[in-house]
Amino acid sequence: MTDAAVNIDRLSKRYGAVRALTDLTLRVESGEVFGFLGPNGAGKTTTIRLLLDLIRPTAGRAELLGMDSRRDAVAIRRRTGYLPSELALDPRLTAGELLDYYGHLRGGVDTAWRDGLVDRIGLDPSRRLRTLSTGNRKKAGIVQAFMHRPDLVILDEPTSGLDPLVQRAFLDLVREVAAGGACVFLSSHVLTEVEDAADRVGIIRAGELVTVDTVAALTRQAVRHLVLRFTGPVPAEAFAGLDGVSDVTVDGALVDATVTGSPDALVKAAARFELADLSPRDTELEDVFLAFYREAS
Amino acid sequence: MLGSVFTKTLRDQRRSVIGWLLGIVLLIAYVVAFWPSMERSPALTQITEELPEALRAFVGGADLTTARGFFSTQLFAFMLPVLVGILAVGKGAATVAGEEERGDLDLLLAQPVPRWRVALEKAAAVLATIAAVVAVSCAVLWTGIAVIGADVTAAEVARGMVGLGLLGWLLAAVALAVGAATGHRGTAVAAGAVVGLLAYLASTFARLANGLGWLAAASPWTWAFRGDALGEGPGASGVAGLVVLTAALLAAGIWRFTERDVGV
Ligand SMILES: Nc1ncnc2c1ncn2[C@@H]1O[C@H](COP(=O)(O)OP(=O)(O)O)[C@@H](O)[C@H]1O
Ligand SMILES: [Mg+2]
Repeated sequence: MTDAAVNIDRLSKRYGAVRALTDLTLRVESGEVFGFLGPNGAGKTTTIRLLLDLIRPTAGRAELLGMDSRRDAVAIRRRTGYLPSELALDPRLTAGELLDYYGHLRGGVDTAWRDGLVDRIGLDPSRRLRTLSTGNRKKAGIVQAFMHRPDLVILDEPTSGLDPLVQRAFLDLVREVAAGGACVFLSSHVLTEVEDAADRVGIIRAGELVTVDTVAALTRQAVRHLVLRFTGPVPAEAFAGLDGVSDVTVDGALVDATVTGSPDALVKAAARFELADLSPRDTELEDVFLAFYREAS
Repeated sequence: MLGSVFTKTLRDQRRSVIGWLLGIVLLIAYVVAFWPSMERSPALTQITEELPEALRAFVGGADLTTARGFFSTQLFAFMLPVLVGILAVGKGAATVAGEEERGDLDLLLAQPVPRWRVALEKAAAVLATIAAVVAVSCAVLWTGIAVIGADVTAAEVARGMVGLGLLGWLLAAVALAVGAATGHRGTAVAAGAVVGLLAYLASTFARLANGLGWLAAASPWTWAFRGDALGEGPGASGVAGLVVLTAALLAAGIWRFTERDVGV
């Protein structure tokens, strides 16, 4: 069996009484895009910084690309790209200078590939980082993480702060490098930002891994809030006892429903009346948790 | 300048260093320009002769009526070490702890360079910057002395500047080591300032008090300049003491840096 790109074994990190991460065991293969999801404070950044040997575990260990995260840290970093969540870059450098600097520290990179990335992501390399918005700085961070064609890319909340167009270019890039055999490990606190790109998703909460599954399976458990507005008042009985629908409130022409899995039954019930508007709220990660916990209890 | 951590760190420092250098050069020029009129002033000779022995020690222990003693006192007893010391402590604290607090150390430490090496190259760059500032100061002072024709040799100027540079190195090492060990810039600045101040006080006041000679002898400030910066300078033992202490501090700080959590 070949080595996993990421092989985490009962990894734990405590800060005094705070258990930032507890007994995380996880395996991610090469060629896989793995979404690491959890609300703020769940332990995503802690996990990622442990993998990169920036902080040291209280217990447990991790192997990246078949190498020990502590002992072989330098060899691992040679083949790994990293994007921190709180991206701080030297404000005096231009974006191009930053890429040059890290490129030199890596012993040179394929400049054609790098310049291609700069174009795809839409980074202006001549701008001083001080003058860039958070989103544009993030572009520099993304290019930097991919420019040496890493076998493993670890990205901490890469999509937050990116405008939708760049987000798409970024997710295309993620899929492309994964198709080329690299492993992409990305964290987020919003499922919708990673569900298109991730093969599997792990959900972490309060330092503990809650579940690992494919995006499709998780969405099946996902809970959505749908708000339906009709042109006139509708009877409450029409929306009672529907499959996969709970917590229905009918208030005149407004129906608020919570749907687990497929909204098919609700939509068919609604079709009997004249619908003015149907607005799904975002699938919040919190809801996926709720679904998971409900099932467990 | 972006080829290595060492050259990048040099580049980071260049702008503020030019400002410091300008200040130091102005101070040197000012003091040098003063000497010709002081030399001809009988009042100075008289004052110096009337000074109690103890007080003379306080101003550096040098003989103010000679050009050597005058420059030792006016430049090396306080002003130059303070200027170079502030620069050293500031850069020492900024280069690891400052970057860590700002957050950009995270990405640097994710590059394939060992952590100890990042810190070592940064430390080397700070020491190189101090050496460059002191070297320019040395050239400026020697040129000034040559221009006014004062009775000070190049070797004497170099002696004082070596002491100055090594004291600067030591203070930079204190700040850098404490910053690398703790990750806190404020702590690093405080450590450097306290060590500098204590070294100064021990070197000057202890020399005045009976029975505290050992304290003066234990001060790195004394190692750097002894009684008279240009006349005596650090000597071989002073150089050795300062270099060994600097190296030991850096080694300890960098070792702690490699062992601890970064950016927490
Ligand atoms: N240096 C630290 N000291 C104390 N607690 C910390 C430290 N870093 C993180 N934590 C705690 O660990 C938990 C996980 O944090 P983090 O990994 O940053 O979460 P996430 O990235 O998922 O938002 C949080 O409760 C946070 O407060
Ligand atoms: Mg985080």
